[in-house]
Amino acid sequence: MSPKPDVWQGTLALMVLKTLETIGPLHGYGIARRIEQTSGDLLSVNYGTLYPALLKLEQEGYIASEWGVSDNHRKAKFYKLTRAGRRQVEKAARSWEQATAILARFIAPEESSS
Amino acid sequence: MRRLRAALLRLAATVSARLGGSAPQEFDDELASHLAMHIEDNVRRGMTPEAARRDAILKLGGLEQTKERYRDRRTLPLLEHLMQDLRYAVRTLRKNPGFASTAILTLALGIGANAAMFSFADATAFRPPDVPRPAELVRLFTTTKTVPYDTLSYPDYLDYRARTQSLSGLVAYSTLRMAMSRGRDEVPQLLGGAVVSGNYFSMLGVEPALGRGFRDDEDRVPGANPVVVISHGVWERYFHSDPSVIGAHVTLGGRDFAIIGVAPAAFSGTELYFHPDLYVPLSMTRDVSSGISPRFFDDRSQRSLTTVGRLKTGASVRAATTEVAALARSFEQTYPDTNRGRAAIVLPELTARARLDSGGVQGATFLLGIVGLVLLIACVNVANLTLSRAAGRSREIAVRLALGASRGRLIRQLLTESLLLGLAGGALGLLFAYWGVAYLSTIKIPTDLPVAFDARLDQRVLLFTLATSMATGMLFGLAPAFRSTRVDLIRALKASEKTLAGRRRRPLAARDVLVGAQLAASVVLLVTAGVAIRSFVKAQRADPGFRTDHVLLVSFDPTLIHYAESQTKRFYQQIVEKTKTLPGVASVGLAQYIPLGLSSGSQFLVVDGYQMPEGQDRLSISANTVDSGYWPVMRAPIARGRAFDERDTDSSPKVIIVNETMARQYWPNQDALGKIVRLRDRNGPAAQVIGIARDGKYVTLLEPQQPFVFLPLSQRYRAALTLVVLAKSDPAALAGPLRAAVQALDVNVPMFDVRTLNDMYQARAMLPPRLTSQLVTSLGLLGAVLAVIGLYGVVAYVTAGRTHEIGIRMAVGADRRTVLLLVLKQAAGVVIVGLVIGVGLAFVFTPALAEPFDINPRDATVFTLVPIALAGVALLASLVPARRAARIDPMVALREE
Repeated sequence: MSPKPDVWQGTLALMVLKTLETIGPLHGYGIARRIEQTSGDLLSVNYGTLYPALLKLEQEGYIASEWGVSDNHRKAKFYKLTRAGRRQVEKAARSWEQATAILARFIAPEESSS
Repeated sequence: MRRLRAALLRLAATVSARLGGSAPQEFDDELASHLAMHIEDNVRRGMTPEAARRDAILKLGGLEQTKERYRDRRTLPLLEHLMQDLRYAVRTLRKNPGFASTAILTLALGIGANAAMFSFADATAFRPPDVPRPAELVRLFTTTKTVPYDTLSYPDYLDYRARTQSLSGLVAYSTLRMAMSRGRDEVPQLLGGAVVSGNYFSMLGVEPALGRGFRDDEDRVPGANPVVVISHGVWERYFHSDPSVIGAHVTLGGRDFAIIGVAPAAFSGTELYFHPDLYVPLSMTRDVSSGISPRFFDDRSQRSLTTVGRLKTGASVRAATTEVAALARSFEQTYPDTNRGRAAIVLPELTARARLDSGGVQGATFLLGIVGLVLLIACVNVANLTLSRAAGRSREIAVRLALGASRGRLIRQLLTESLLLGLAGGALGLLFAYWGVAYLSTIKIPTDLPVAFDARLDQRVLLFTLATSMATGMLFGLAPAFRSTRVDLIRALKASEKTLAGRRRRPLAARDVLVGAQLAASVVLLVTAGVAIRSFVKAQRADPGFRTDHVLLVSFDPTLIHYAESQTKRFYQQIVEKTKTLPGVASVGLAQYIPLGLSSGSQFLVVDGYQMPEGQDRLSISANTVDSGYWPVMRAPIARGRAFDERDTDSSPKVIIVNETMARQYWPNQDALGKIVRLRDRNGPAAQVIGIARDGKYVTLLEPQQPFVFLPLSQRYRAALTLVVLAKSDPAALAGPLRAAVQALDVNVPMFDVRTLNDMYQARAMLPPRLTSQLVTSLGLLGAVLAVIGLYGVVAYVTAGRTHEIGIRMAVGADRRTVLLLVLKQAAGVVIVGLVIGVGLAFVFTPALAEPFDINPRDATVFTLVPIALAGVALLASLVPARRAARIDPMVALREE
């Protein structure tokens, strides 16, 4: 059931979902800026890669989109979490925590021994 | 699930994009809105509008790139490319109808011939029984030094079935004639039946169409379970597909049986040719036929059961063989009288068939090999056509490469074209195959029993055709695709089509290989076909050693209605007497087998004074049992000594007649007359040789001359016999009076296989060699025509490509003769190499033919004529364009650039 995409694909999707969960419905540009800001400008990506990722999430049914009007009164396409998306955020976040926890155990003792 | 949903959406998007959906426009809007917001932000941060815009596009990673990535995710790019390629291929092929139709027709002939031949081979050798998981099926044989693949006795079968661990089930059966009537007052009909073990249907995994199959224990108590499962065919023919047939009663061999089930239509038993009408539990064997030994159930030397097992999941054939071999050793110790020297082996079902009917499998393989060569030649032809066209297309390809198409993409596209051609050829080929199979289906085996040759266009043939078409497309497409995309761009763009065709050295080399391959394949095909045809023609002209005209055959088996031995003997005596008195009858005889008929037998014997080969204690010689009337009817000459007559009775000394080959082989440099042989084994009864019969053909017309013996019916009781009646005029006219005579004796005795010896001879003896030579001839001709056309095409094309060069040569002073010689010399090299390779291959392969057929594999005439004829064609093919080239005005040729 759960796909196993490569790290970047997976993390980007998780970031998108998490962003939408925190902020609510948002357009592509907003999501890109938000991810950039949250990562403390550590992540410098092409915004362009975001759109195929959004499309994939939509095809999988985790998010839905509709046209609306932005704060600056511009027409924009807004994305929001679906119910399946909410469940997916939890699941993905949990497995992410697990994965980092496991990795941490590998990395921490090495640091202390050296 | 989520992935599936995504995939479906992408598929839908791919299709809707074809239909002009609006999604791309929507993404353009989304991008525009994205950029507008980004630019606005940038301007707010103090950038100039131009810088803001540049920065926004830069951060996006390029406008077009983003759109493309988005499109790739929205649809299925691979599918999209494939559809593009397909559309492009269809368009290209439609632009070249000449090329396309030639290629498709050539391939269709090759593929169609292969599909029909596969159907034939499937029917004669390879088709597995129609049961679930047929690959798990194995056969269990007992084996001795003289009989490598022997059947099992009933007690042996029960022991193997109970003790095997590697098989999940083991069924046993034996095929029998059965006489069925639907009521007491109906004359019995002869049908083909099988007595089967109780687990027969359950182990094979066959669910009856109606009613039930047998229970596992229904085969245990002799005579206790009078139940029968009828075939779907019998249900339709005799019971009008009436579902209330379950529970009805029929009479088999005079006893009432309850119908408990109807076998499914697709199931026809586990034998290739014999498709039982009736299935009866093994325990009822003696009830359906009194011809079975009374000791069938407890005598381990009464071996008549064929066994089929199913390997347990994960068990190997090797493990099963090891296991049954160990079981056989333990039976040897427990039952030394019957089982000493008797081992056991397990073989996969298909392997077993190949061992038992090696002729069928080898014949089928041979025909598949021949037809494979035809397809190979067709492929070479089309590859060559494709290559010729590629030369003409190299400019188009160069342009596309220059415009940035990747070579991989171009190759994929050219291959799509080839595959399309292959599939189109396959589709048309199926039509040819359909005709071929329709023709093959007219083959009838001359018997009343449910024995049928069953060629059909089924799923297996369709799958085979599809695979062949795809493989063919790849085979002839791959090399041209790779070659034609390796282009020197600059030169290709500058040059004209004609010079490209003539100048590029590499395609010429490729063509040389093609010409050579084509010649080699043609030689192998034609030599093989030629050798086979000559042998088959010889076989058809062969003298069978007996008359085939004016004889009527009628078969009987009174044990089917439970005649005792004395009754049977009296019946035959009476029917012979009565037939002799019928008007129009010249003479009458009885025989167990008809030479070149449907069945044949053999006799174990030991020749006094003959040194047996190491490890063998007796001979197995083909044999027939006949009465004294047989010889005058069949006009089978006795060379020396005498035929059987009234002197040979039950109580007189035992006698035997041997044929000339037998006499020569086992009494070399002696007179066989008066010599003694022992029947059965070293301690068996002695029989004196009283006559030497002229050699004849006994089983097939193609057989090598083999030793043969005749035994007198008076000294060797046989219940199933054929009456041979010599008529003064039309033998078929005797059938009616004869039937009346039989019914006057006993209305219940079934008579079957009533036909003239000539009909039998034509259908049984003559058909296989005639059919095979017809098949091989038509395949050989097809291959030859394709090869000649192909050969001519290649050589002519190569030569035509050199027009320019020839022009130059002539301009600088070469005369016509020099030019002709030049062209011929170049062609000769390739032709000779191809022919030599072909003759070499044919020399290696044709001896394989000698196995199934009695033929001379190194027929000198064929080996000489074929290469000469092909060399002639090649010569002609290069001569015509060479002459044309030599006639050309040098100025014209030079101006062509």
